Amino acid sequence: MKNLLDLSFEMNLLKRIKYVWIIFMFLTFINIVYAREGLSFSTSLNNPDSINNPALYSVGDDLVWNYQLSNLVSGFNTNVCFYLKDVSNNAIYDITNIPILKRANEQHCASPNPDCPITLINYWIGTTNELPDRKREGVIIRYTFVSGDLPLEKDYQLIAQLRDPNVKCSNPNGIIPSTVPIAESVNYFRYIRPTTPTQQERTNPSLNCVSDYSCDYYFVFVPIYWTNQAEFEQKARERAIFFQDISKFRDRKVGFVYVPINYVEINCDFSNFLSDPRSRENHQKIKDCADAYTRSLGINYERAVGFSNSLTGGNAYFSNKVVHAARGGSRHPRTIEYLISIRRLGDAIPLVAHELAHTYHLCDEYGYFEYNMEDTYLRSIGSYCKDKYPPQCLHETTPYDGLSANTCKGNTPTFRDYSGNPLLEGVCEGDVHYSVMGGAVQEECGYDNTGGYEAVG
Amino acid sequence: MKNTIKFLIIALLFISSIHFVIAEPICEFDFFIYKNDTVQFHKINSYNGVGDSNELKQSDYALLFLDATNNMVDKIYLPIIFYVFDVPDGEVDSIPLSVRKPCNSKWDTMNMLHNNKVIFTLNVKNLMCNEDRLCNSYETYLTCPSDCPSGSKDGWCDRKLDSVCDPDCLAERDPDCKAGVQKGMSEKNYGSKFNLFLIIMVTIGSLLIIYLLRRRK
Repeated sequence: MKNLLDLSFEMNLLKRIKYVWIIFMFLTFINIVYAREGLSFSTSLNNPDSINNPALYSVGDDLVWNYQLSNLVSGFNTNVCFYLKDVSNNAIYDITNIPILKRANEQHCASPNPDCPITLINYWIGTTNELPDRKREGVIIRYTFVSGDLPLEKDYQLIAQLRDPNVKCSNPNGIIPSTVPIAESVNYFRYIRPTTPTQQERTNPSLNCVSDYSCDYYFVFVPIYWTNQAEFEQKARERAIFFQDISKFRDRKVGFVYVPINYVEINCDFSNFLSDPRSRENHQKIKDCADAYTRSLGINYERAVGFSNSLTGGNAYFSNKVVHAARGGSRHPRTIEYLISIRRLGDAIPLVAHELAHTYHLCDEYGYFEYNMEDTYLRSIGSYCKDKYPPQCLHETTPYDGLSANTCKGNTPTFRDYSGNPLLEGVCEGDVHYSVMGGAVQEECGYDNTGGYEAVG
Repeated sequence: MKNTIKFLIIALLFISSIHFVIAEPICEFDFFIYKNDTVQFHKINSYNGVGDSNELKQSDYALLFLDATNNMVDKIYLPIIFYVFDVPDGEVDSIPLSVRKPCNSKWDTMNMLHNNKVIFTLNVKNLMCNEDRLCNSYETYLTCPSDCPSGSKDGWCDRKLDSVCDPDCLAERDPDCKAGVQKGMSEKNYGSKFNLFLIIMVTIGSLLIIYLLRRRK
């Protein structure tokens, strides 16, 4: 009897193994079939993909993920379509009927073609870095959110789908094709208002202070001559991130407020601003605009930056609450011609930090003439330049003419080099880093360690 | 028991002091100052904030705040330097100036001095709180709650939970507006509320007098 039972047990065991083997083979087969199309995603983000608990993104944030294609699928760029779906009011994922809010893969196109219209999506996809990830044998895609144009506080779903290279991706307001392989959800995320938390604030919820007005300090960016809110906020945020990271404000509850362009158009007057951006009236106009906007939010601010879309440098008055900083140009322009011919054109991220520092009694380090004059003025009211003049530049006693090649680059080393995220271009370049108060170009990386750092914040 | 009360009082005082340090109504005065001692008043901006911790200890220029009997209430030395950073030949003839100080209901007149000589005078009381039950000029809920009750149209979004949607707030900045509460208090309905308050007080007073008279009898 016992032998019979043992035999029966062994038979059952064999059957079980057989079934397990069949299931295993079946799963392997399925895996092979789908692996043939070979599209798999993994985000590099430490966030749950659940629709009930989406990751939070805002302007300036990077959405990074990795996708892998099998060897049977050639060409990374043209074979995957990305779509963005608004899921804030529809939590049900219906794969056969997904209204496309935006096509998201135009930026993959190296050059305009029928499938890659010149007009880029101005919603949420910004610059794209597509880098081969050799370790994973896949591709890393990095999208930077650049626009504040998405509806606020909405939940979205990023969807990817392989496609036949001869078939175009579906257009906005169309339907995602129900072809094989089916579209795959990459992840859910919630787009949050760009004027609110920075990435640092979000990773530490206790620092998420703008939305509940609990910031200890607010910095206001007032747009001047900007027509695109997304671009304005992106540029302003870069400067804000840099300033915060190199100053004592890095460890404080700081909120950056970006005044909407349409608010400025209605409530503020910056006509003729660039004819004389340094004038007292124009600085007062920046303040009036920042005052009005923050009063309608019920908050006060530490400093306001009139941030102009121009290459006219910056300027500040002593002890004032507002400064003017252009997007780029010289920090110390003598002439417009000088700006165009000598100094770099385009963005100068440290300019805002430079001008803001003046309001905390930091002085210019690009020439001893300027530094000495500013120090003398400050001593007349019982203060002094909080930063020391770079000793290696003491021989430069003539007024800086804007054309001199031997401008003093400023104090070095800095108290703390910029190390924030994202890593910004055009700052901290080279092996030697200088104070933002000097005349270095693209080598500026912080405030000096002779007292300047201590004064700001 | 005594110790407990003592502890509670100390705790209360401590909490009160913290409250005052953290946020209080700040009055900010904006001017244009000229080298030739001309002063142009621009505006008063009031908000909830913290006073200036870096007040100067000396300067040729100062602001004096006087009460109704011409006694000095506050004094601020002014950081006036006719210079603009980062422009060629930075010296200028005039500058914008912003001066802030915790608001004080005792302020009546403000004098600006240069080398102890008065170069400008402003009637602050009239501008900030003239107590005429009208919310106008630079009066706000912060500086003059008697004229500008919470929810008044005074340019300041007070964000108070008072069932009044402040008309000065941007959309959804006032929690009362989110709840769908009706628009803010206008001067007209402020007046009617005041009248209602007056009627209630008169009624209570009358009843009290009648009660006391009957009790005597």
